[in-house]
Amino acid sequence: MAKFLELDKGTEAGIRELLGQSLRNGQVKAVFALRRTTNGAVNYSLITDPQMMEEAVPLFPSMPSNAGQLLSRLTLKGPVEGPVAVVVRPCELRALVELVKREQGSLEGFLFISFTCPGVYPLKASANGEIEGKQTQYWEAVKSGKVVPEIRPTCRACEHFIPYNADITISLVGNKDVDKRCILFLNTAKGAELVKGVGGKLSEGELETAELHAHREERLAEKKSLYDQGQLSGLGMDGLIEIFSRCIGCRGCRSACPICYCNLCTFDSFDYEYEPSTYEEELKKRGGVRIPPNTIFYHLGRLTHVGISCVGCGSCTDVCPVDIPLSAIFLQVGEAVQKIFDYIPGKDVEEDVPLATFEEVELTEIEE
Amino acid sequence: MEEKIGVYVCECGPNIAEKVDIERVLAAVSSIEGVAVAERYKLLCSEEGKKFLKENIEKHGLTHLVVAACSPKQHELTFMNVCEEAGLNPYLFQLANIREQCAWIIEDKDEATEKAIRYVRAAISRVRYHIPLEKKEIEANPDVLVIGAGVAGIEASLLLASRARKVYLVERESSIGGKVKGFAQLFPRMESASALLEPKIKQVVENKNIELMTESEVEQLLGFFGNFVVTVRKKGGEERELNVGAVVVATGLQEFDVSGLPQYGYGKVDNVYTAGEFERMNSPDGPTQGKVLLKDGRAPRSVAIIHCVGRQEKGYCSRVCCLYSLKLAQYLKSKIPEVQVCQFYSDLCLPGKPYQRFYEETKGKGVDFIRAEKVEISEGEGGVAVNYSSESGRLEVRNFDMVILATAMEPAHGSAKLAEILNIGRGVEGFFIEEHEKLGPVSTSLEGIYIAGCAQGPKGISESIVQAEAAAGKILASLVPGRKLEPEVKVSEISEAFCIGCKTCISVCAYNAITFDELRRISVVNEVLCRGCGNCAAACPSGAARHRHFTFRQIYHELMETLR
Repeated sequence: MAKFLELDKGTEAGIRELLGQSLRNGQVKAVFALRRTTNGAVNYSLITDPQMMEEAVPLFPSMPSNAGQLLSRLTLKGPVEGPVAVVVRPCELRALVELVKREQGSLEGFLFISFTCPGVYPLKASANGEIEGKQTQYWEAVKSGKVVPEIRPTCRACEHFIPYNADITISLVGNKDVDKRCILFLNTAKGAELVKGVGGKLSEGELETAELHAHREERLAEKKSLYDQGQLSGLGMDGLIEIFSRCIGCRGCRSACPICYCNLCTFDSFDYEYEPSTYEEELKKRGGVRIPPNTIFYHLGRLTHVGISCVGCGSCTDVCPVDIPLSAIFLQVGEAVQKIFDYIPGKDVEEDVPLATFEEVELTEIEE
Repeated sequence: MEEKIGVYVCECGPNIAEKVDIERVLAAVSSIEGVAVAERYKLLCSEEGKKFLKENIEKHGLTHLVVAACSPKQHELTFMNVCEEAGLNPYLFQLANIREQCAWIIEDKDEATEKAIRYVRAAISRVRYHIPLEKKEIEANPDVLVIGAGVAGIEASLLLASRARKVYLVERESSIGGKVKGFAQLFPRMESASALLEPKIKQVVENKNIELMTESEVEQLLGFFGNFVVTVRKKGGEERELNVGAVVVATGLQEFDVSGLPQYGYGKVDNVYTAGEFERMNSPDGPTQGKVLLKDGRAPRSVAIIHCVGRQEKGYCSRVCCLYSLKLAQYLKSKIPEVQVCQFYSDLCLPGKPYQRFYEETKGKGVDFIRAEKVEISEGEGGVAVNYSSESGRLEVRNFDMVILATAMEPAHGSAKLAEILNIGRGVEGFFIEEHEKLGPVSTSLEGIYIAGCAQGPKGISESIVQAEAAAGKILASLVPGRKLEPEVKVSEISEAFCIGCKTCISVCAYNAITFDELRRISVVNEVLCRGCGNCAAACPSGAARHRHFTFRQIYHELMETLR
């Protein structure tokens, strides 16, 4: 049985109040959460002024950028002088853990608050207040424990919607009273410490109810249909070339990907530029060459680089101006690689990335 | 400068010529851009062949050389030397292996020829992108680290130490002499162990070229043959860094722990001892001043010695247990002449010149030998009962005052950790593994690290000394003072601009050759330690680590031509 705290108010209001109070009494130095700025845009902010907590919208169904990437940047040169309370989605937390494994940041000083994640709308829906208009539909679906319609395709297909490594887990999916009661599961001593003095009722119960299991089944079914749609297996080189042929080379997927963390991308380096003689040779063979070349190479390269750690957040698809179903491909290929190594990216910060581990037993799966 | 690539296909006598259509290979590659000359020769590795190549490089003013012949393992160096003699940087050369990978394995001549053409084209395509690398020289360090100061370690140290060569003898115990120090006498001649050992110990202590470091253990080893950097820690703190050129591992053995085998009654039934414990009891410096006594203070009237204790569990014969069991019987007979001694054995292992006589001599002193299986020890009437199955399969029981268990040998504790530190392998039995059971019995997989004595496997004193001499001989012959070493030139480098400081390279480096520069937050390769394995270049997620002789471009162009 897990301990949980029940506050007698709507979930988002409850979080706001808890964090506002924690700022006021100095329990946390800052809060990192989504915030609606005066111009109406929703972005991640680092907040120290308790008054400003009024602007926080920690559960707003949008991911302006994967917070894992942002928190990595924040701690790249050293950990925060905590405690800093952070409200992020499970896949964002997982991305941060993957980055920390690669020395690209630190978990130190953070207090992680996450939730059973219903998913986010595509970024394109954030224009013209479209998401605002969908709020009712979103929360009704959350209450019913159904998969929310129109969210990112990878969100629909996400089975890791229960956070790993959160100090506090907010119950959202399937919480019928999500607008009346705020339910906080206290997973660690740090989490329990934070809610002291905020009132409410402490009880014991399970986060993973039968409803949540049913919800997972639904997501798994969504994943299967996503994969079926993509028809990735058996695609072959020609199929891949076709999918990626509309790529305009903007590298937006790379910028939005939390796992793509290099300062300078090797695909931008001199090594990947063609020699004049290479153009000549290729032309001799094929009679015509796509300019710029190496498009498929870039995407497959990125796939090999990030596949093992892909958390399936869907940011890449979201930013692609020509709607290449990147995240479906990355999720499926990533999952296949992760399975070989029995690896769930972002689950355990102590677990080494498979590429950097050595085992005497030869890996034979790929030979078969 | 214009590219002038020379391509030479070796017939390798009939080896390649009969299986690959060399004319077709030459025709296929001679018109490739940059190829100045493409020719065949009957045996390029012969003296005439090398002369031919050298003259051709000079005559045509070649900028790159491709040889299509055998495995690089066999003749890469040969042809690199030819390049050097001809004034061509030896790294502007590529060897295409069309013998082992084409001629020898493909039945069909057409197929073999097709594949050979691909390989030669690939080599031509690759060699264009080769970078001339410069060789460096460093002086080899002739000093030697010997780990373990038992008979093997002592012997190796004494042979190695000289005015030109310092030996660091590291021992984790407070005194030296190892297991032999605890023995009273040695088989088969039953001479005094201390008479043999003490002069050796004295020589070690007095030798100015041996630095004895007791109560010390090796913590880290970096580098390679001729250039190792070792960290040794003395018990209680003090850490020292030593530079040596070679290492002898002589960490010896320990007695198999018999308490895990309840059938031997050890620790439960009184007067059951292991052979090691009995040695101590028999030793003049032992707890009973060398008197063999039962727990109640009486002298035993009958003693059973059980052979092969742990043999099945360990999965190997420890070679010397039969012999030391004979020795223990002789101890007993000489101290208590009327004592009845009975050896329970399953197979007697007595190979070698002097041991048959030793066995007969022991038997002649009135020692019984009983062939027995399934031995179990229990409390008996007024003593210890030995239950066993006799040769005819009958279950029998005999009572004795005392039982000695001839236990197996196993590697000294800490061997696993040391193997990791030294980066050398261990066999399934846990002993350090030799390079080759027959051809390299004291070498290891790592050049410059040798094993001697029981660290390598169970053996007696004479074989341990033989191995110590062999290891010392190997070092004396190869690590001659003043010898120059050429560190690997084909090493990795890390681009400061691309490195993101994720340390993946450090975690995969097998040679501890990469360090992290905290200030710049980047990884840095130590070129003297790097052996050019390429792990870092393969694992680096940002393309910052690259191998100088396996650059992205080189591999890309080689593969393109191979697969096209």
